[in-house]
Amino acid sequence: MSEREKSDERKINIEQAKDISELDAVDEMELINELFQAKSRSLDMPIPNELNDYIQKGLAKGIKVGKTRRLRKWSTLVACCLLAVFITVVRVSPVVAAVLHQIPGLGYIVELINYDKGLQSSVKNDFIQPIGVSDEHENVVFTVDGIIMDESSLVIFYTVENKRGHGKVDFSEVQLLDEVGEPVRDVSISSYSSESPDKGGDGKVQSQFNVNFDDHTVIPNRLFLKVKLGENGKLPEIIKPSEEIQDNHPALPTQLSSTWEVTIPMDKNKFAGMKTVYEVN
Amino acid sequence: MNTQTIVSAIRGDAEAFNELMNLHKKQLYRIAVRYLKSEQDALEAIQETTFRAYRSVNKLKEPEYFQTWLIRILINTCNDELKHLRVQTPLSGEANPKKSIVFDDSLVPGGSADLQRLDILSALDYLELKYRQVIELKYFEDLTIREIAIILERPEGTIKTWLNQSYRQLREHLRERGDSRV
Repeated sequence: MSEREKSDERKINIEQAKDISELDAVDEMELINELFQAKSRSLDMPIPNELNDYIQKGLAKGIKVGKTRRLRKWSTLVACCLLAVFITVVRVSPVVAAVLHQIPGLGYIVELINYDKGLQSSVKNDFIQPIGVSDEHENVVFTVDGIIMDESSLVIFYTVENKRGHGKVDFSEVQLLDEVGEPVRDVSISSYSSESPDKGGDGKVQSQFNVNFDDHTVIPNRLFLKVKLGENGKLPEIIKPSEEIQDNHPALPTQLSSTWEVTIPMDKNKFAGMKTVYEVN
Repeated sequence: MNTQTIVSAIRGDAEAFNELMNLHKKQLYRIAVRYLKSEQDALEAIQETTFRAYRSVNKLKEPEYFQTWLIRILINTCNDELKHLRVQTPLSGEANPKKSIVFDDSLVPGGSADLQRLDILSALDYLELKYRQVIELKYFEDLTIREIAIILERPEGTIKTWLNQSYRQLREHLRERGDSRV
């Protein structure tokens, strides 16, 4: 291949030389011959012994640089992973977010990542009251995990655990009663419809009731929460005030016969004195 | 077998890379000495070339071009070296190339003894660097036009033109020699 190319080369050169003169063409051949002869002398160049040392030095330097470069690549990767974990943890765990919020500089970032600031701050300010009482009938456990309350509203966090192993359990009736068993007046209850029930696959549904108080609502010291549950039943998104449900609501076909009752102590001192009144003239 | 060594060198095997350097070191050294006209500078250039080559060997796509690729790095290193030297001695910048044009006879064994046959080599030293380089790469290192084109990063046509220029200039110098001898 290279030989052929060389002869091609020579041919071209010869052709070009012909344009100048015939004598030049002869010169050309002579020249190339002379170069071929000079080759062996050129290749006889003495190779100093240090050559190997210089190669080793260059190679050692290359290996060193390669290592640091690889290290840098890895540390970048690890830093990215840590950042991803940080964001995920802050998003998922409000406790971690609350702790990180204390660190100067991080608070802002945590806020950026977290949007549910109201809930975060109630956790931080210890407004949440852990309750943890439950009632079980017909293999369905209804648990009130905790509440958050102030003068105008009440949030009840609950868990429903269906041990029957099939079907979706949801509320057909919700009632709030005071100490003497009278329905609490002037309240509106809304429930978060559990869009994705049974996330963990263990038959548990976690959600919350939001109860809004009226100006005239008298908040009792103890609250009795009575619920009726239905299975596979369609439920109204918003459950109407308790009186109406009691009287007129037609029972759903799959309604379970039992009533789940939970007593919630209301610690009014939690928010006492939090209210500030600004007088407007 | 050679290709396999190159492939493992590309994968980062320092041992294989070292083996390849041993295989090509004499050629690299010859090219560097001819280029830089200095043993010490040539050694430095080889060290730098080894470093640069090892650092970027993983980017070499085709193993069969390893030698070509290595020589190209060497030539680039030598270019940088020359630039560096020129910056270091700006006032004697004119004197420097003149000095380097004189080929060191001691590098060629029996060179001074055989004046007549040395003439072609010393005539080469009168050529411009690129003309000298193409002749040396082609006739002394047995590289093809295509390989030289890759090494010098020029199109093949340019290399052919340079070769023709080199022949013409060499002839002129040799003719002068003939005249002076008579």
